[in-house]
Amino acid sequence: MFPLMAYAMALAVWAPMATGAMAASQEDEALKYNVRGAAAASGNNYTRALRLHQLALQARLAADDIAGAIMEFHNIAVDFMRLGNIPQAQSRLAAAVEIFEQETKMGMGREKETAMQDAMARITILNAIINLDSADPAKAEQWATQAMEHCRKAKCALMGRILNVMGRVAVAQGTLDKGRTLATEALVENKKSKDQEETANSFRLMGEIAETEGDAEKANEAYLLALGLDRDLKIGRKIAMDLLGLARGYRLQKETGQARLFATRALIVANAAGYENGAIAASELLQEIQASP
Amino acid sequence: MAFYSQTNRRFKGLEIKVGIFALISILALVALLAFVIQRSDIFSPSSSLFFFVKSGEGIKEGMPVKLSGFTIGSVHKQDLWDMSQVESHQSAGLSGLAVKVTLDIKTRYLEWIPMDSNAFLRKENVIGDQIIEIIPGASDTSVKEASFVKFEKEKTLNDYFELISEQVKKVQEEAANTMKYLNDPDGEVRKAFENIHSFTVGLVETREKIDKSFVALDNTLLTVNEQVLSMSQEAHLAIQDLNRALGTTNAALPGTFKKIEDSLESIANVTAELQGLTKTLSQDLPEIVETGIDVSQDADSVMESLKKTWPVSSNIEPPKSAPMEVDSYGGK
Repeated sequence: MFPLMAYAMALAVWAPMATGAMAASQEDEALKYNVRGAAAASGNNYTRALRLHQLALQARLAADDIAGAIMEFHNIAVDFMRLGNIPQAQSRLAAAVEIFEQETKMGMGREKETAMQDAMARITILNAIINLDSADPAKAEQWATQAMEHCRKAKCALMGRILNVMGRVAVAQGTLDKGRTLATEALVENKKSKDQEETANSFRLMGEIAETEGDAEKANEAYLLALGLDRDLKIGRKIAMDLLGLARGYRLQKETGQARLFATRALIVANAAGYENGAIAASELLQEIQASP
Repeated sequence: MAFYSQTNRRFKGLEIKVGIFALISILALVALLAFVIQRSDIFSPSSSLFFFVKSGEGIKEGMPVKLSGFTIGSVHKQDLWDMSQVESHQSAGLSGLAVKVTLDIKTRYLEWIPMDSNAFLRKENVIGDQIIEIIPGASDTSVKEASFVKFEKEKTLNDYFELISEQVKKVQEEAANTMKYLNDPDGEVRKAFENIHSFTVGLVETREKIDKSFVALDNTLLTVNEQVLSMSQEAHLAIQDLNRALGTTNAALPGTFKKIEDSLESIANVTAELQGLTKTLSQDLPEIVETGIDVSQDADSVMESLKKTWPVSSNIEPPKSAPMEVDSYGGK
């Protein structure tokens, strides 16, 4: 009788521990794949990154880690976006939104909710960026508004980024005053959070607004500030964007020589950074300068 | 008489001879009379049938009554009759004053006249006399003495003419309406004809345009033909140049082929050496891979242990899962 009771008690103690251990093992697996995926992505090997992030997602789902799963959906969407497969990226983001909605219906703890809201802020702002680049600013605005709500709930660190995206949406919709206000707010937020990359983006956005308004001097000033920060960060794609902005600004000022110089530099940097759209834009600008100096 | 018989022998027995002759004559006369009576059917028993008509016009006493073209009796008499005294099934829809026509039918023929037979007043042929014809019905029961038969007046030519006249009138009205519809200037038919006319005129114009187009096309084709001829001449010259160039190339090819052959030979030698090396390697490879896996696993174990060992563990930041950052210009 006694051995039987002891066995039962041992089982009662061991079972939850074993389940926890199994979940912990899955979390370790997810962590391992996530870190390796990030490494592959930083080396621009998005095919490998995609595979690793998919394995990470599998492990997250096996461990019932919903916030983690949403993060992995986000990572997979980024991989697809970088590989140029926008529909697949959007389908993963939609899956993340669905999981979040189901989980919200079931209810969750405060800590878990913060993590989920943070992940959803990333999901929705990525959706906004994809729609903005697909020339659908109306949808982009909807997603950006949702991103702001999620970010406020989670008190996330993405507010400056979200404001920048909303500013870009405003420019795309032709509301330049609104865009300038949002860019200024974003700049304040990004400086406060010491996010140099987004600070540079805010400057670039201001440059674009000034350029659209025909104020080349102000535009060049903003582009130069952005270029300074991007050079520090050594982000080739962004440096090419800033140089291209400067080339357009000088062209606006009828300074053809400077415009040609910056356009050429933009072309070289874009090619070196594998930034195809930038290279195309720089080539077209050079052709335009050549055709009508 | 005696005198004659005494003076001429031919008068002898004359009285007897006259008597015999008279007797034979009388007998022959009686036989003839009997034959005639028998043939005339005068003494056959007859029965009466009757019907009512609105007017006795065309019906005469003694008029023959026929069944299937065979005379079976005659019209016996006609009387004016008050139809209110007649049973409804016999009145045939008549009211007021009518004529009761009684037929005298040989009794032996009654059995061939069913109860539902009809009597008609008709002409025997186109120019013949009128007769009463009985058309037998389908009933199993035959008429009896003093039975009623239905009478229906057969349509005369006048009736048919009236009927045809009515039909013709209708046709005339329809024709008039149709003509009116066809002639209506705002009607569909006139408009359709006008449209067809316009279409036909348009067709003629189109035909003229097509003719002009064909003329223009002919001119264009002539121009194109001239241009093609010119191009053909140019192409011919170009082919001649190409042939000359190919001649030069052909002259240079043998040397080039020789060099390629030499190169291929060298490649073949290198490939052969590589094959040998690959063979050796393929024999060693599984062992090398297995060893590599073992070494890798061992290295992992050592590294894991080392990471957990102080003071190394304090210098290693534990890995954190992080989302991939996409900045606000990330998609561009």
